[in-house]
Amino acid sequence: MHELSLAENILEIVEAERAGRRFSRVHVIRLRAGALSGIDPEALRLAMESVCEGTCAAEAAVEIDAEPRIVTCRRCGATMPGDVGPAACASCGSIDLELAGSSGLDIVSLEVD
Amino acid sequence: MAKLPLGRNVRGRNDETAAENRRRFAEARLCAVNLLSSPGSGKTSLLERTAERMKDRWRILVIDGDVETERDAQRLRAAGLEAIQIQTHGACHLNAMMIAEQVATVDPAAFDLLLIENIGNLVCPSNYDLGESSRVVVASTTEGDDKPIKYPEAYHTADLCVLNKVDLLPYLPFDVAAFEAGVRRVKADMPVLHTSCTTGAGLEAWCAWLDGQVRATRGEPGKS
Ligand SMILES: Nc1nc2c(ncn2[C@@H]2O[C@H](COP(=O)(O)OP(=O)(O)O)[C@@H](O)[C@H]2O)c(=O)[nH]1
Ligand SMILES: [Mg+2]
Ligand SMILES: [Zn+2]
Repeated sequence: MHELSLAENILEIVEAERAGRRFSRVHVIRLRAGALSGIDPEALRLAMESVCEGTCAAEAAVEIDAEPRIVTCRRCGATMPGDVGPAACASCGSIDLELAGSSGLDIVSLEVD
Repeated sequence: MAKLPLGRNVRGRNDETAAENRRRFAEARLCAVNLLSSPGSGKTSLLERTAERMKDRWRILVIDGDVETERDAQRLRAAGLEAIQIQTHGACHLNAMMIAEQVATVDPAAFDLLLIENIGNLVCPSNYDLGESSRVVVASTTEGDDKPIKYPEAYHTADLCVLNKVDLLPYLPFDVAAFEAGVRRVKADMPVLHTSCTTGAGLEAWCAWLDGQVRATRGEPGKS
């Protein structure tokens, strides 16, 4: 459900760009999804397929660059990959770690003609 | 084929409307609190208990989101609150436009506290700013102690975590220390309150926190 409304938002933005810039077909839609954006890339691709049917983006490939989750150390600032991360900081041993990452979802670029 | 760099926020329309809501709330000195949780953790129960303790002190409006039915708004009206029900008919989160539409039907300056009960879902609502002043994630002991690390989005964006149904702790394999460690791993400085809507435990602390939020919005000093 969530992905469906996001797909509609994406198409809205693409259609607005088309009105301003006069292209007829979208070949690639490139997205960037923050680590805490709550997005399931596969579900978003499926939603895009159904929402874009019969539009200028019907054939578009949807490329999603999903940022990995990271944990930052609140003592030394080191960052480590992982969902909840290690038990202690790899560089200073502190256990004062916190999940980091953006909740953003952006359209980075389009390939059109 | 040409490449068009865009750099556009997909939730841009929501975020702009949320900023407008926030401006309107500030103008009306209305404190807006957004409650997130999975279904059944006790959001409506917590609001019913809040009504008993706070409705004579502050003028409270509730906007209640559910997929279907008016049930929760009816429960809150029975508890003596003014309540608006939003039925999303399938959508899994409230968005800023839905809130703007409902706020336009009332005089926001006629209230001190707006309590928004979001749709029961720990994923989608976390990424939709409604223009609230603060966000609360309501967890419950029956959900298991691993939810903060399994659903970090909701916990990462919240200002307060309420752990509800603590009256059931004796009957459940729920490890409070593990739960709180998970909360801290997702958001290091988040306060956690323990409540029971059945026994009333912890509700004083919850109401004191809400009271502080309302006073801060009104520019009043902390304690009554
Ligand atoms: N034992 C116990 N049950 C609770 C508590 N709070 C809520 N409940 C029950 O949990 C169920 C769901 O509560 P509700 O407020 O409708 O949850 P919501 O879906 O988050 O609004 C109801 O049957 C409530 O009576 C609590 O603190 N302890
Ligand atoms: Mg409810
Ligand atoms: Zn470190």
